[in-house]
Amino acid sequence: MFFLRYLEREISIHPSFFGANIQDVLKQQLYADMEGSCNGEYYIVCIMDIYNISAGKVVPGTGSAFFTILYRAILWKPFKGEAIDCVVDSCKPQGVFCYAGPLSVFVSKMHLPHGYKYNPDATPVNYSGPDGDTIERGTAVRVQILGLRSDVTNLFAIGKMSAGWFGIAPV
Amino acid sequence: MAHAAPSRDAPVSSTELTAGRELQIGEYAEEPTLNLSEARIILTKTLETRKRRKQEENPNSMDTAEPENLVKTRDYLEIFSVFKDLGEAQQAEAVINVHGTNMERFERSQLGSLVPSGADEAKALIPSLEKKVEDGLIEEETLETLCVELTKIKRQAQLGS
Repeated sequence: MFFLRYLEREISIHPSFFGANIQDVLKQQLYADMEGSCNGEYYIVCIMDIYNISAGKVVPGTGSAFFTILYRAILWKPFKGEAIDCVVDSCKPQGVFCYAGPLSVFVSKMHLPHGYKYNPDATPVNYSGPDGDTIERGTAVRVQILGLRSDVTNLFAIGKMSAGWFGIAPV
Repeated sequence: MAHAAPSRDAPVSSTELTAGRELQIGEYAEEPTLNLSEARIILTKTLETRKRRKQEENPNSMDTAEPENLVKTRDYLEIFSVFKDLGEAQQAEAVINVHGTNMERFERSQLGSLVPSGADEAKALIPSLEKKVEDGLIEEETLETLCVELTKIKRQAQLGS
């Protein structure tokens, strides 16, 4: 799910950047640090606007200054149980790897729709269903997220398509 | 000696928040949500504005590389957003607002992203709606009408593109 959220970030700046254009330096630093990053909870897809930059505070002993920046960003956070559309990246004997934007989702072959079989000899390698549908690289599928694992800088999900209405996405 | 009882509940890990039959999404329940179409429109607008401003400030500036996750999300939205046009997205939002009484923001946005074809599909894709229908908070017919109306706008959008 995408969210619009107000966030806060503290940035420390080296004295050599102090000057008339310090605001630009701070903004650039914020974009470089935060945009496209993931903190293990959500992805910050895009920073929409910056609406406040605090006055700087010099840290005793170092000379660098601390600024608190308030900004608004588009976040993307997956939830357990949420239904999402993804694109299949590769088919393996163990299951299917898909991508929903930056998030990689693994669907085990036990959780594919009923009756799907692995065809290692087909090009591209695919899973084919009883009614002739195939899941292969590039197929759009609808997946329910079963679980999430978070890393310091990334998120991983496992999903299933075995329930009704899940599987190959409707056009 | 026994420890004193903790004065607050242990925080829930963010990966444990669930959108199952009970919507337990913690602090995110209060945040404004975006469906795929709205996210795409806002993202494109933001990037366009930024690019234009950069050009105005420094016409000779080169395009800087965009972060990988931003590019991936933009491509994802380009593929899966249903309502590409601002007008269509607003129509869809209006339909959901009219029929979607007793729905959380999360559920409304999920409906707008997934555009289920009927009440049964909606309940399968969004389990919390199923519970609300069972509890009588949402009428099955209202949900059906909502889905039919949304599907109509989707077809219109597909014809237009």
